[in-house]
Amino acid sequence: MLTVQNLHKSYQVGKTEYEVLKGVSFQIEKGEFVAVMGPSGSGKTTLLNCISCYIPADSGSIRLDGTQIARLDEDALADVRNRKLGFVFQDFLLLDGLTVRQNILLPAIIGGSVSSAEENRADRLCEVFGICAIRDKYPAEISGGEKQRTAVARALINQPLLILADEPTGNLDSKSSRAVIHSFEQAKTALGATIFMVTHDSFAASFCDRVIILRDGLVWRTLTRGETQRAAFQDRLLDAVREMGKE
Amino acid sequence: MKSYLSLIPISAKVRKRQNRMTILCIVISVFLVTAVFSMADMAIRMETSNRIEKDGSWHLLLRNISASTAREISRRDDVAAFSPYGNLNSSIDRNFFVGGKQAAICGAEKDLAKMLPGFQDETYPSDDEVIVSRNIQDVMDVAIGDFVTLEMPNGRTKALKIVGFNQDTAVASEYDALALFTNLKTFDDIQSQNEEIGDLQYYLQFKKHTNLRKAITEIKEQYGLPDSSVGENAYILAMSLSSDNSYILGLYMVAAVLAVMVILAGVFMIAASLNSNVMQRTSFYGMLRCLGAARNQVMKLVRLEALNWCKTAVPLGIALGTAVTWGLCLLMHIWVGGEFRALPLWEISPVGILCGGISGVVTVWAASASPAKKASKVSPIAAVSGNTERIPSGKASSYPGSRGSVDISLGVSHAVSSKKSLILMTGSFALSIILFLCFSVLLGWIGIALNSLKPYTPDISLYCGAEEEGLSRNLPAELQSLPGVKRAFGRMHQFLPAAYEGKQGHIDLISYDETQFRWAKADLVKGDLPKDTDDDAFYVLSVFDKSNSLTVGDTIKLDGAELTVSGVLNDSPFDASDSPTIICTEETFQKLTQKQTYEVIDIQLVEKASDSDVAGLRSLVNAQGVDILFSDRREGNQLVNSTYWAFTLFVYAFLAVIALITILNIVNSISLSVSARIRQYGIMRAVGMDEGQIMRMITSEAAAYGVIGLIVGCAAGLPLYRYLYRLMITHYFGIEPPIPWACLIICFGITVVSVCIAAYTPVKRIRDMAITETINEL
Repeated sequence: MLTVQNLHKSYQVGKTEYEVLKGVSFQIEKGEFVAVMGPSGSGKTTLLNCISCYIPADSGSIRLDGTQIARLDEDALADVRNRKLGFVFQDFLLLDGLTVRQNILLPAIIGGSVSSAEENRADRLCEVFGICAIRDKYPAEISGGEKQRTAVARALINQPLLILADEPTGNLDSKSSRAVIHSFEQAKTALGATIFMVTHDSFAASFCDRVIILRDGLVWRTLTRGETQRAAFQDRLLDAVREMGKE
Repeated sequence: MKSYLSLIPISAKVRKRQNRMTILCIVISVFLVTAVFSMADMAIRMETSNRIEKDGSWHLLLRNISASTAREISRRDDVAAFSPYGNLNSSIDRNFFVGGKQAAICGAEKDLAKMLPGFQDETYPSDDEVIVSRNIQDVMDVAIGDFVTLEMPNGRTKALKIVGFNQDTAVASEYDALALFTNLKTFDDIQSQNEEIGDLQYYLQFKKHTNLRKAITEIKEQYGLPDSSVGENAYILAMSLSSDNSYILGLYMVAAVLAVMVILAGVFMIAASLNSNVMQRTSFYGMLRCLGAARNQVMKLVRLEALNWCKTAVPLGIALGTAVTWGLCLLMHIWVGGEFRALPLWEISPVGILCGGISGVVTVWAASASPAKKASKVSPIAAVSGNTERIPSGKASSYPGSRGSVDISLGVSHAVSSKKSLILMTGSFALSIILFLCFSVLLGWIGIALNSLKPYTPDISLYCGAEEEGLSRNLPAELQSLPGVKRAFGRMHQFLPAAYEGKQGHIDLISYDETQFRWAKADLVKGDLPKDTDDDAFYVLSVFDKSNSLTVGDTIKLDGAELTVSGVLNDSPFDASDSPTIICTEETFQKLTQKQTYEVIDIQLVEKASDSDVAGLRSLVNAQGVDILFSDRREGNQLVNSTYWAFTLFVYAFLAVIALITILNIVNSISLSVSARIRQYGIMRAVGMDEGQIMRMITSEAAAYGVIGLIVGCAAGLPLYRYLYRLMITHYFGIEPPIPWACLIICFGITVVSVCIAAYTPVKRIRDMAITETINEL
């Protein structure tokens, strides 16, 4: 589904160059729920921005469903973002003037195709994420958790190959965080979605199939959950973080 | 919601408060264009009505053509009215009298009544009948059906029956004469009896909706008529946009330049507003890009969003423009009066509405191009990071350093950090200053060019031909003693052969008394007033005009005397001619010409002078036993005066609106700029920046725009001001362009006011917000 190979990215500040990604490689399979963790400055957000094609990588390749997306032109990239990728932002970024349902439909509207199929899908997504009761409400009238679930539903409306989430629980309390992670799980199980999530939160990451831990621009370790219980997997994650802190 | 464009009305609803200023900018721009063009339309209607009343509604006056050519032309399909026209004694220099008053006689066919003013269409004189100007009733008690006796130069008389009165007496009263209108047969009879031979002229009026320019060219080409044979009623043609008169074309040019400037000011204002609006919403555009919106979709969204504002703003601007036009028309109708009473009241101007509407939409479309491009270039990362600020280049000098006050440095840095904003803001300021400077030339020109506003402007003038005996030197004193007379003063005049500037020619030598010299002092641009001397030296004043460049120290040789120019005037009460106008004292004039009498006496009346006071004057003049032309100029003066006030009102109103635009523009832009940086201000407050520092920071940002705009405006405006001044004033009146201090002080004042107002509201807004609110605001 997604293959990242030997990805490098540097920033120039004044005369100094900071290498943020120093050759990151990994792969994500269809239907996987993968998290990226790491301390501040490890390159998590830069990695996400490169995969989203918000910023160009210096070298390396990013293949989405076999397509080398870094080489696409601006219009093709817009199309990829619209049809093949779904985004969940830390600040929700819902439009105040649109209802929950209209917000969910927004990527389809931008893509220029709002048929009854999309409308039915929006209704189904509302059901899946338990937001049917609020679908005609405006963002100002709903809670943070509901907003984030709406954002997840919006990311899924165009049936993307991959959902990219940037600290989706960063602005939420524990109850809302749990609801959002639950919605990701539902997206995965009920809709077969592939999810790539950047997070600081070991609790959120413990729900994932796999956690890639970055350190100083490199993949330091990859932990796979397998059949492990969530709580035990979270402990493994915390152990890994502690270990990383000691080195 | 089926299309992303449906976001436009939704966004308009949500961002009502933020969009208010941009909509206001569009409203002002549309209002301005609507008002300017509506007023121009009303002025054209007024002028058309006045011109038809004064000169008639004819289009062409054909001279030196044969009767057969005239007949052919009259049969053209596009001709609505055609009449031959002959006149006798139009210069009031033959002895045709009715009731002891000079009479001008004209003969024509019935169609003329449709084309010349003052006639009633249904009345046309038969043989030995006459239509007389209404002023006959000043000297004779006559009514329709009565007979008047025309005394002719050959000593005979002719009885004519009055069949109507011509209402147009303006020219007749100015020359103190009667105008008689007869049919062609009676006219020919009078002409042949007096052995007067005059060529007929032909008045022509085209039908409505005729392409006038094309028709005129056709007539000229078909009959081989030179320009000298085809006179045009320039104003009437101009009103139907068909004149090729250079003066009228010049007026159109001025109107077009004004309109372009207004539209340009509108583009600056709206573009600046849209630009700030886009800067404020980078996160939104970034989010759209994240969700897969292509660049052209964002661009389209911004441009259509801007056009969507037109839905409200354009009708509002048009309504406001029309209301202001009504107000101005009413104001001029009541306050200015005169010919402005012909201004239409409560009428709609389709031209104004169309121009306002089209210019509004075009301006918004043009102004939205650059912000739309900018929005389309917003990176999706702007949505993720929430970072809407441009990262500084890292050069130490471009961002506030440790030296100086950090708040002021930050403010200036904000102003100069975005080149586009800086250009738009300072451009808008500069344009307003340039407009101010250019309009100040126009105001100066009106003040100098319109003579009725001068202290020497007479209400009544008495003329006595050069060949006549002249007016007694005691007459001014006698006239001044009459009730209603404020002042009377005379001038002697002699046209003399002279040698000057190495060539032979003539001069118009005119005498001034002390009062006139006192007035002339105000128009003195070089040298001093002349003084009488005991020796043979004669000192005179020269009046500057295009064809007279005599200056201080130049000499003029007369037969047996030499005149030295002691001073140069930029203006005088006399019309410019090919010969220099030279002014001297009465004593010098007598020594040079031995003439003892005045040729002209000007009389100024007190403000409340009555008609009986004027009648008293008239009888004293009639008792002089000399043939004196009594010219009542009050109506004309009032007209010029009212024109001056109307023009001044228009120019000042225009300038006021320009000033308003400038102030609103900078207030709006600063406000939007603050909104875009509200998070940054919140952070600054959070780390300890106090209210005073915030205020200084925002004020210095506004001041940076103002000061740069002022410098650019003055740098571009002053040379343009000098150029226009030389073109419009120096060239005609010899006055060198002064430094426009008053105008510069006003510009400076407006800049200061704009900066203060611009800083006040955003500072208040930030002060009233909690720090957390400003940090979290998106």
